[in-house]
Amino acid sequence: MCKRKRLCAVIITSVLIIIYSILPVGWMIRTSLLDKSELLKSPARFLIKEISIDNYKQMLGVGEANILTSRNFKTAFFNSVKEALLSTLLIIVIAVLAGYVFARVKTRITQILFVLLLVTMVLPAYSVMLPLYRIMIGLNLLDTVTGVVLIYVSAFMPLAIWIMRSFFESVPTGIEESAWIDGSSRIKAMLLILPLAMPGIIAAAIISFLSVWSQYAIPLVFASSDAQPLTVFLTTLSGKSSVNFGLISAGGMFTILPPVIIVIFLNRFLVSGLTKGAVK
Amino acid sequence: MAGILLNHVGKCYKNSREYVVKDLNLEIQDKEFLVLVGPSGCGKTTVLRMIAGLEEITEGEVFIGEQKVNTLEPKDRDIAMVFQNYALYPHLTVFGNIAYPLKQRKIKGVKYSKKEIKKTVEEISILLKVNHLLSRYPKELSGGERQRVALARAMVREPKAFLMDEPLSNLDAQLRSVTRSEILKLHRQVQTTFVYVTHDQTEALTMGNRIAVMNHGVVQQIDTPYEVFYHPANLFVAKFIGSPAMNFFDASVNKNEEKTSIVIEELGVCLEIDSKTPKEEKIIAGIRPENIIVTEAEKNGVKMQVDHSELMGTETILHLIRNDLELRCKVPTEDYRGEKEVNIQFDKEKIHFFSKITEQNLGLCCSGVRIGCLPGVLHS
Ligand SMILES: Nc1ncnc2c1ncn2[C@@H]1O[C@H](COP(=O)(O)OP(=O)(O)O)[C@@H](O)[C@H]1O
Ligand SMILES: [Mg+2]
Repeated sequence: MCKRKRLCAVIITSVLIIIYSILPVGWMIRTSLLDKSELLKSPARFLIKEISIDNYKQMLGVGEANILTSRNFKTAFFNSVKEALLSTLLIIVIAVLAGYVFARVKTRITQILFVLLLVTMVLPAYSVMLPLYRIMIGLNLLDTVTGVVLIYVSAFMPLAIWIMRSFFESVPTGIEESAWIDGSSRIKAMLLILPLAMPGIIAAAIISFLSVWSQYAIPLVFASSDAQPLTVFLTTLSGKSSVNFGLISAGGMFTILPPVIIVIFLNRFLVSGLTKGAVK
Repeated sequence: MAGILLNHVGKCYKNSREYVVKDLNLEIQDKEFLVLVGPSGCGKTTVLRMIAGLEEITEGEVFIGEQKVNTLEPKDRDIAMVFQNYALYPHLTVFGNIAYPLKQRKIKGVKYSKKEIKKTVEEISILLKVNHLLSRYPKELSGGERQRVALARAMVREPKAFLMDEPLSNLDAQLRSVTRSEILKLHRQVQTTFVYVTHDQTEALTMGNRIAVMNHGVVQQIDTPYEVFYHPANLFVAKFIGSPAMNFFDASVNKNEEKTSIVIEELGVCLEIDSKTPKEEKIIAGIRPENIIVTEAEKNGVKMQVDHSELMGTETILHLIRNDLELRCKVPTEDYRGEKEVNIQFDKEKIHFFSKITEQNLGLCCSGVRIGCLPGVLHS
């Protein structure tokens, strides 16, 4: 009896939470499927009678569409993909190497360095915006993919290193020691245990990818036109006189698609990565 | 193939100030089977890891062959090691595990070819009877099979020496005795130096050419199993080697004009000594359970109650008590018929005497045992 009651309570709470978090997304889906003529109708209804995919067509440049919008959309989409993938790749390479060292070499120097690394995580990004801007101008990297990638790497590397360190710490040292004795170098021994740290690598990669993908403030400042990612592109869709909510919603749908797919398919790595990693 | 020399080796772990290995001197001959034995936590693994290069050497020098290896990386020391928990590579198959050492090595700058590796792995896996497991992963193996794979991986190449850290401790008793003799057979076949660590004194006695008994990071005695068993250097070795353990008694030295005798007051036994006289007044006498002779209650001897008995097969261990004194003795099972009271005598040649202060073996010989002599009688 009591058990069932509790189960009911849990289910009801979960449903409420799910509705609460999914409703805005639902509204976006609804808006993206709305015909232009119905957009400003009031009162606005959640469920709509006619579905139109005009907004999506326009985004992708299918049929009669504003060529500029769709071209900018594609550029922005590829920028986002490029920036996210490149940053993730760099972060992972650095995090694996650094995490391994932090896990296995416990001297005072490495411990101090690790603490410093964690300190950079709690610094608000805005506090370094201005000096960073000067540096980027100086390096001629303003509004380039390379520039934002460098910023992302420096920003999200500490967390990834932390996760990787925890993972390497959970791998028993015996395997590497055995490998050294069998004649492999330190780096080869590390590569040997890399498969055992794979869940950690995947978790760190997902977290880095998602963080980079959803960045807005940094690219708004450092990649405002040529290297513009999707998040920034979406804001350009609102003109001076009118805001095309349908189009923005369709763009938003494209923006949330990659993260959603990643989370759905790689969810279990994320969970194990976080429970074993930083949260521990 | 090479000997190993440890010269005044000491080890102190970084986070503690205490030395876990102290002034260790050990000369392991080429092709020797040396067993390092001692209670858990005495520093055996540490010694082995220092030889392997997995642990920094705080003090002293380690030589493998002619070469000083203190600062040499493990991979350059050319030794093989079997870990206590085997440390197999979990994501490689048995074949991959055994082949791994070969893939890491070059002979005169040339790597082994695939064919050579396959052939060598197959040969060694037949020798260790794991050839039917080559495509399995470590987690699909039983403890005994894992142990064989670990051995195969160590033996697949020809290292200068084999180091083994309690390789049998995870096996059941029956498998342990089988594998024990197999390791000895392998040692004869490969003709290489073996350093074998164990906490089990039976293993040490049965396997070693020589045994090094360790306690608290200090080597107590290095000698052949025979010498270690029959002439223990000190009290610790006497206690540790032999099962069931030796019986010890407090004894006092009684100096007369011409003869010295040693009295065990608790038993009322008087032991005559015909060698040099110890300096101390109080010493410790020890005798192994198998050197206590049990006779029927009516005969001459020290009267003891039987507390309980343990049947070990052809032998029975009797736990005897008399007042506060407890002792164990070993008798042939056929001779013991459940008596509650027995008389014991001592085999006089098998009694050891230790200093109470230094705990060293005093090297005294007992020439006669007198039973039933009370201390008061002696003094008069
Ligand atoms: N990595 C380490 N750091 C600090 N102390 C250690 C370490 N490894 C072992 N010790 C200590 O050294 C002593 C000897 O350990 P060990 O060589 O493993 O003993 P054994 O193998 O004989 O059981 C123990 O007291 C143990 O606590
Ligand atoms: Mg040990």
